[in-house]
Amino acid sequence: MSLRWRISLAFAIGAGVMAVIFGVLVYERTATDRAAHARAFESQRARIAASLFASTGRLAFGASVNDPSAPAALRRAVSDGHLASFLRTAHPAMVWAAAPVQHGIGGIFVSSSFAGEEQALAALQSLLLEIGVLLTLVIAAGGSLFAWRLSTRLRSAARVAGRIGEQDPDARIGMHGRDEVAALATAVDRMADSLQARIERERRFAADVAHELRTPVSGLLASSALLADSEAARMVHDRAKRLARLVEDLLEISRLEAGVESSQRCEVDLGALARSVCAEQPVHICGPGGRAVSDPRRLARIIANLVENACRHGRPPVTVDIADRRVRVSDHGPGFSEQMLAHGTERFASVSSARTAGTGLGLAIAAAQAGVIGAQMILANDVHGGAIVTVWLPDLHKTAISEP
Amino acid sequence: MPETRVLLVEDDAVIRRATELALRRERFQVSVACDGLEALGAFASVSPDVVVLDVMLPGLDGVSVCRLLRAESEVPVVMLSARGDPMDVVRGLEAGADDYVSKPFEVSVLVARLRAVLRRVSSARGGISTLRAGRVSVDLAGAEVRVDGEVVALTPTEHRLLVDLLEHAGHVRSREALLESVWGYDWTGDPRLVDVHVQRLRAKIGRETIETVRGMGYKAVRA
Repeated sequence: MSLRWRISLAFAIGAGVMAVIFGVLVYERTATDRAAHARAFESQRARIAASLFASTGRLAFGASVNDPSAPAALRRAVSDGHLASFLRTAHPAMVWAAAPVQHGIGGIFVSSSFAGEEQALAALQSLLLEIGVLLTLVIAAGGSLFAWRLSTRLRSAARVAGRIGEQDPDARIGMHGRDEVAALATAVDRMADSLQARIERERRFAADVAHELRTPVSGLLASSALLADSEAARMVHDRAKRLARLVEDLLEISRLEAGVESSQRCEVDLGALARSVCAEQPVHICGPGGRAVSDPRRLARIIANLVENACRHGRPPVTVDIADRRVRVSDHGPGFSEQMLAHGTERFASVSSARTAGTGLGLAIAAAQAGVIGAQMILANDVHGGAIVTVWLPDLHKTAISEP
Repeated sequence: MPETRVLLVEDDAVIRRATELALRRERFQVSVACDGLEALGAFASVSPDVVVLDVMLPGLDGVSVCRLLRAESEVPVVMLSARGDPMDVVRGLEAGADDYVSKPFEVSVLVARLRAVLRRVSSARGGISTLRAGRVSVDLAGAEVRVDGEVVALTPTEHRLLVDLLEHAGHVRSREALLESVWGYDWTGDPRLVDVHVQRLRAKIGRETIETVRGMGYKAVRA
């Protein structure tokens, strides 16, 4: 059950219990008062009637001597010489009183109806019931409103927190106030700030490391090119080139992830672009061909990375299938692993699996470049085996083309 | 043919020495400088055919050195950009650099860029006729550019770019086509090279000669 309904129910139950206690107390107190008052009044009438009877011998107030219809308990009390009263609440409600007189005659009895009082008490009872129900409803409604406001605020905070967790690190709750919900919201905002700052620090760290490596790696690359040609020299130069490539890839992905890159769009013939990119690769270019408005340099980078990836990890033939606003690179290797399908576009996703000569950044860079040009990159496996990467380009023909 | 003189300005000793040796192996005559002031002094004494200039130098940085060199000479300048910041590339080009190579670079790439820049110097002096567009006229034989009859000094790259645009006057030239014919790049070329050089060219010969065609490229007006 949601917090809102729980709070509403608690309010309703609390209000109901309070109404019952209040009603019972008021009713009991009123009933006791009325009974005592009626008996005292009737006793007074009996005493006056008795003294009148003693002095004049007349019976006043409809009094009677030794009323045989009077309750036995009352008659017994009077014959013992006590002034007594008796209240019968059962229908018809009556109150009796009796006072003893001299000469051993017995007692003088008076009586009157208690029905009027009983009716008044019944009316009070139903009034109290109505008040109780009404009060319970009002308080329950008020509680529900309060709970609704509370749960709305909590829900909106939870929604924003969910967004922060999923894909929107800039989302903040921004709730003002001094209660616990506002405190929670502020704490979540602060946590998001500090997490974002930490992620930013780590991203900067990667960029700074790559940046600091540039100069020594440049020196290494330049001096390894000077070594007299030998197997050892070729190994050193080859490793230096790979190190330089890794540093460049790291810098590129850092720039892309910093979100400062923008695209320069123009009309691109996708087939011609793919042919020039893949000129030196054993790649089969097929499909009807197509055009798109996009950034040719970034697109070329994406295609080059995908083709390189397919040639390295898959098996030939590698095909590049071109259609309008779509580029699809497929190979006939073992396809992507489950892990690659889920996390293939993250940095160094394939680090744990057997990797041959890549930097582990090719797909991540392609995906980030696709993000900059507004394209969608989807990893999949062919049912007959082989990895398929499809890049869908946005339809930008109608939107403005950027111009420096 | 005399050896081509290169002035290499680089503060890191290993990169400087290794690049110097590699360029010597490619039959360049190399002078080196390790900071901006030394570079300006060496430039005056050596008068190189081409300058290789690191962006990040202690004291006077590469962009400032490039601007100072450009104030007194049309010598081709290739920047070595070490920073990941793309703004550095643009600042270097706006200061008058002809091309850039980003670190870490392979010496063979740098040599290819140098040869491409130097080819422009010679091609700028190889033609036979005169091209005209609006107020601008280019005497290909004398490699002179005049605006309203006044001689304007252009760098070889600016000159080559203007000639290419004028040779195709009235037709749009895409950034890719210009990168290929002027700088000798394939699709890996940086289109900002074109944009910044067109801006520099317009600053020298006036805005109206070269039109921007949105989403396509640039076009020289017909004579």
